[in-house]
Formats: sequence, structure tokens, C-alpha cells
Amino acid sequence: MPALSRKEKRMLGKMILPFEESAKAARDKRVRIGESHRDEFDKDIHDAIDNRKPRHRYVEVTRAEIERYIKKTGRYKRKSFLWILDDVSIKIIRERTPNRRRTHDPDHVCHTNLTDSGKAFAGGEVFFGVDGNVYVNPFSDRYGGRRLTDEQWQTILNYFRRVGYENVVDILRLLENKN
Amino acid sequence: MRNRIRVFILDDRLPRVAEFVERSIYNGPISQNDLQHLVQHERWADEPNLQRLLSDILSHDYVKDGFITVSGYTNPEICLNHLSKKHTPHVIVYDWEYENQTRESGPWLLEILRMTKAFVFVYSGVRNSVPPSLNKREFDKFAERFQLFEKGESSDSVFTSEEFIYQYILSLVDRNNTIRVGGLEVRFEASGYLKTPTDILYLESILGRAELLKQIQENRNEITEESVEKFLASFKGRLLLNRQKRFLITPDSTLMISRLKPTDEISYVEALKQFGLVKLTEAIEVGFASV
Repeated sequence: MPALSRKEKRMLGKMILPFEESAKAARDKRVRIGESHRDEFDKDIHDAIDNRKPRHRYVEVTRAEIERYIKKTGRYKRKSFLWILDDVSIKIIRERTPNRRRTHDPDHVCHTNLTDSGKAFAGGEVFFGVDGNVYVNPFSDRYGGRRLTDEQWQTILNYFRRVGYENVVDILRLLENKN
Repeated sequence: MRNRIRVFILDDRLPRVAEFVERSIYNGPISQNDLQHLVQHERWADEPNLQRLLSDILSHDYVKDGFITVSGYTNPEICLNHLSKKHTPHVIVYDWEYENQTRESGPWLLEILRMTKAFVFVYSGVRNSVPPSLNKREFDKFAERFQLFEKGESSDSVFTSEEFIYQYILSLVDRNNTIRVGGLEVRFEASGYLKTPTDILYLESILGRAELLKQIQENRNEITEESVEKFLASFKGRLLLNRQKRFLITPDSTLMISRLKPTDEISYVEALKQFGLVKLTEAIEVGFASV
């Protein structure tokens, strides 16, 4: 499976540090205890450059959950996986992977546990549906998609497709079409 | 209506006193009176943070009035042997490290979680070496019932470890209390916005630690429904809203704005009143929230 190409990197612009684009005050842009290390989770992190679906704590959203949560709210914390795109590939981990070093949310890892608190182009959440679709959003406070242009977001979605996720669904599109 | 709460303190570094050793006090549950004696009259060179925590709990009126009872144990095995239906705790402060221990702390903790319904604060001096044990799958089903805190930790949150444990215990008796936040004595009144003092962490997430502490001081050291609104009003934050589809979006979320087309602009306070603190926090953190 392909690594991120030069052209894609050019399209995506610069990588950012955690919270670099966040609206938080500078003194609050810190990564808290337990949020900056990756080594503890190396074995659980799925590199989408190798194959298609994560194995660690793999779970799929049901059709009912897709209708009720993904299409209406864009998220479903119980079954979400976190993704980040660094300068090589997409890294994925089940959000509900315990991280007891954290004081806040010790039942979950966060995006900086995927990057060792380093730089990334973007991050968000991904859901694997029983319908074979892979649902992707750009929701991350640390590497948030809020600053992305639509073109950059399409580049990311296309890269998801290029590494082997055939049926990628843009969650923002679903939210746009919400009745 | 106030609840009656039992608190167990498990730590092998409670001061050793010759008289107590003679009376075999350390071989069983250490009574509240004996703990009081240790706190008031003995040196806690190794555990000043635990001493402070215990001192704060034991000197509270809830203890005098019988709403909180505290027992101490120098070893988890002693605690396990003394558990019974009548003597089961609501909160356990569980030291992770024991000298000359014959068994790892993890299995003990698991047994305690299985045998009680208590919330367990895993209270450790070596936070980083603990997690591999606690991240095992057998702990998953107890995930809601334990949390790791480093002794004396004060940099990670507006609460120090001990302040957090203290407010948690008091809140089980009554949700309205005077608690400590960042070293300040603060009157907390539960409201539709903040149900327990732990929810103050949402406010910290929005305002930041320094601003939150400043706001608390400027508002008579009170956290009430009225003061929460004042805190957020002072922040002057704005959000965009697609009222029909019920999406909150931050003004810097160019991608979400272009795709989800907000129709209105509202203040943080309006968002708080209409959608609550959790949704407001979510929107500010990721730039989007479905409300």
C-alpha cells in the first residue's frame, strides 16, 4: 500500500503540532499527562499503509447506529477509531483503548498518543460500518480539521481510498444532507 | 438529604508507632480515632500529601456528624479479609506500592473491584510504571470505577490529586460543599450546568486553568449557576449555529462553515443555556458539535 506522495504532501501544506491551530490560549495548549507518549500503544496502532482494517479492539457500527449517530451527529464515541495523517501514512487506533496515565478520560487514548506528540497533517475519527463503508470525519481538537480547505479534505479522503479503503464516506457530506 | 459514606485508606506508609505496634493496630482495620491520632501527632515524612488529604477529611464536619467514616489498612490483604456486607466501602484510596509485597498490586486491586462497589483512586508515587498493569482487558469492565492519581500531582489539572479525591468524597455525601480548587476554598453549588465538582473540568477546558481561577476569585470564590454564566460571559466567545440542522460550529472552522452552512451566531452563554456545558465544550474543542 502506498505512502503519502509528494504531490499529496504539497496539497496538504504544513504539518502542525498538537493544538497549533487551536483557538485555546497559548498557556492551555499543552498536552497533559499521559497524552504525549506513543510507545505504550505501538502494538495497538494500525498503520493503514500495511493493510486495511485495524485488529486491536476492532468493532463495526451497525446499520442502526449509522442511521442514528453517524448520519445525524457525525460521531459515535463507543465505536470510534482515531486517525492521524503524518508525513508517511494514516495511523489508526480504537479510541476506547485504556490509557490510565491520563487524569482526564483514562478510558481513552487521544490523537497525540498516535503521534508521540509530534506533527501531523490532520486528524479525526473513523468508523467501520457493517455495510462495508468506512466513515471519516476531521474532528480532532489536537490536529483539528477546522483549518483545512475543502481541497485538502478531499486529498485526505482520496488518500484513504488509495491505501485500500474503497468505500470511504465523507461524514461532512452526510451532515450536509441531514434532514 | 445527605448520604453516609465509608472511606478506606490503603497505604503501607502510615506512620508506625511503637504503642500501635504493641496493640497490633496495624494488623487489622485502623480506626478513625487511631488515624486521627496519627495525623495529628506523628511525623509523615514519606507521605505528606496523604497526611494532608487525611487531615482534611478527618477534620470535616461530615466526619464529626457521622456522615463519613474512615478506616485505614497497611496492606490490601488485610482489607480484603475484613470486607463484609456491613463493612464495605464507597471510596478506596489505594496506594499502589507496598514494600516486601508477596503479590503484585494489580491482582489485589482486581479482587477489591470485584468484591466491592467502591470507586477506587489508585494513588501512586510512580504513576508511569502503573499503567501497563491497569490497561489489561480484565480491568475493562471496571473502567468506570477506578482512576489513577499521582501523589501530590498539581500540574495536570485545576485540581491537585488530593483536591480531586477530597471533593469526590464530599460530593458523595452532598453535592453542595466547600471544596478546594487550585488551592482556593470554593463554595460549590450543584446546578443544571455542573452536577458535581468534577464537572469543573469542563469549565477548565473552555476557559483554561488560569482564567478559571481568576474568574472564581472575582466571583466571591463561588461556583453556582449564576457564576458559571458570568465566567463564560466574561470570555466573550461566539459560536455559529445551523438552527435547522442543530449544528454548533466555531468561527475558525472554515471547512465546517463552508460545508454545514451556519445560519445564526450565538454567544457561549446562549449556547450554554440552550445546549449545556458538555456540548459547548465539544464544539469548542473540535470545532463542531451536533446539538
